Amino acid sequence: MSKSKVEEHLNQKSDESSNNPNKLQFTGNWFIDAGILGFVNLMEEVYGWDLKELQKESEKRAKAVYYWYFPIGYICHVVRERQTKEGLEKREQIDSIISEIPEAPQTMNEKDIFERAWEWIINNEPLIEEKEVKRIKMSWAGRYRILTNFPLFQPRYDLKRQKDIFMSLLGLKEIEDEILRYIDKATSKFLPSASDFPNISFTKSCITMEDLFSLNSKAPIFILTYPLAFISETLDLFGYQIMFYSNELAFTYNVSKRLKLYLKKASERDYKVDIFRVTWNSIIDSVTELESLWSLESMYLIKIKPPKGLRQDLDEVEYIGIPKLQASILVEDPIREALNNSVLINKDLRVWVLEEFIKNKSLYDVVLKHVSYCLREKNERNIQRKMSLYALAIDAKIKENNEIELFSNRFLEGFRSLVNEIKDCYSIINLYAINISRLFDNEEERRQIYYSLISALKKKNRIAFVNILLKKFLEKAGNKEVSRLNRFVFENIIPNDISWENYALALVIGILSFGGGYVEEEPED
Amino acid sequence: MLRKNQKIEVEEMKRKYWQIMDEMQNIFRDTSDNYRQKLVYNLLNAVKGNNQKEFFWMVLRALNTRLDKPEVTRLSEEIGRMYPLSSSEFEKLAYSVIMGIMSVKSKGGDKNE
Repeated sequence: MSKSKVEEHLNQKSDESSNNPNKLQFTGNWFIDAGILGFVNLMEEVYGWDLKELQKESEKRAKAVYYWYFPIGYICHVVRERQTKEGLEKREQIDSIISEIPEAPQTMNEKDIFERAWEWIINNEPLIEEKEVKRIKMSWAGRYRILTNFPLFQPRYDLKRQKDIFMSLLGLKEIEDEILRYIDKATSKFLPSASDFPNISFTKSCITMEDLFSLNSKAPIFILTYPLAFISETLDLFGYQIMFYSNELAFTYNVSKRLKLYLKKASERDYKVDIFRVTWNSIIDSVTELESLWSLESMYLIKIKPPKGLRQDLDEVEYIGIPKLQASILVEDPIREALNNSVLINKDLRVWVLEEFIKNKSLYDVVLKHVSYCLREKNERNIQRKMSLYALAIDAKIKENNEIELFSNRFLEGFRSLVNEIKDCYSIINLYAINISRLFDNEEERRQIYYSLISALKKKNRIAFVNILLKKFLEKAGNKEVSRLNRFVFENIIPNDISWENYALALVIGILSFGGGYVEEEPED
Repeated sequence: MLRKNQKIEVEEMKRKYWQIMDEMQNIFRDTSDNYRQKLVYNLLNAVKGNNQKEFFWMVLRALNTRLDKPEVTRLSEEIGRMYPLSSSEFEKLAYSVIMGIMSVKSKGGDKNE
């Protein structure tokens, strides 16, 4: 992404955030942010508003969104989700209730709007349950059973008490219940419990509801919605739910949406799913759309297992962010497109080049294996030339620049110059790959030379490699390409102890390209 | 700081190899294609075997026939100062010499730029 675009986007962001207190945006606290994402998902599921529309609605008529649409939507959705297959009839009833949710009343204060909403809820029979007491059974069940101990869900609490708690959470009533004031394991199972930390019963929790209000005026609402941030499509496949989290709401929302879609498709087609690959596919699509470079640097996959009985375990939080260096390279369209390819490195083994790059593995090794495999199969035409040359250029420049210090000029400028170096390097090796392909126009001659060159590369024997090449150049001393190639070898292979193999392999790919009909691009310069 | 010094040293060495290559090109400018081809072939074989003694013996013998060229004295002194070399340094110097000879324009072919 160009510098101006980044700045434009940043300015736009800061303007928006300062002007609109009701704008939904992440706080930096992942738990509250999960609640925000869950809130967006809830509103989308019930009312069909996507993030953009919800942002618009919550800026234009915040009161209606938070005190009318949210309580009604939340209760309807939870009660609906609680119904198992046997409760199909009730599910349908609730679906019809959802489709008849009236428009929010206008020109009223928050409290009156909520009162009306509550009245509407309790007048809908299917939402109410009457056993010991008359109440709404709204604890999360089934796939969302990760928030179960919250006071709102207690079986003893009747409608009046549930309403009071709801009002406290919406900030419409002072918090009286101690259990609501102190945030502990009853709210989030990620917090310690009294059995883990015996002194909690003396000190209560370190986090109070007031703390949450100071973080975000709607934070308590987001306590209720955080289970909805998790993607449950993975539950059957892996036994855990996941949530993708980055520091930007739009990016996280987009990736999660795509992730759900990919997982759904995969499960429908009975594909073997690789969470890493699926997630990264979603990320790449979203990066292209939103140009969120900064988000790439801090991304997490949070995995949780559904509770078994009373056990509620946090399964794993996996950091999947990539270093600044990789992120800077990845946002460049031509580079990302080139790397976003799967290549064969063995008969049944394909490697996703982008994955290797993200995992910080050597791209040179991937290209060498890919080229060797194609040669073994006598199928030089299958060599992915553009991907290979880009991968070699990236690998070479990373090796040559691996001593970049933290907070050095290059670090601070976001590796922009490195990206330019990579592009230049690609242009150069592409140019010389074309030059050398013109030199060896005889099929038999090419076959003779490339096997020995690959063999020298595998043995990391620079002398053997250069000797083979120079002897061939000597035979073609009159050719105008020879002197150019001589200089290339002298500049990039002989004095270069760090990345000579990358340049050498680029020449071999050039030799293999001739006559294959895929010298697809002329050099850019 | 050490890294900076190392970088400067590497750059100086690179400059030195470029100079050696240019001088070799000048020294062997008037020789025949056949002579140079044979010489390069033998030198390449010596590099392949990492045989410094044989390599320099061949280079000095060739230089001895070109004493009329002003660069010969400086180059011989330079080589004398550097000898013996580590195998990595030898590789770089040897290829500078060889590629210098190779880059002389071929009488039958195109001009070298």
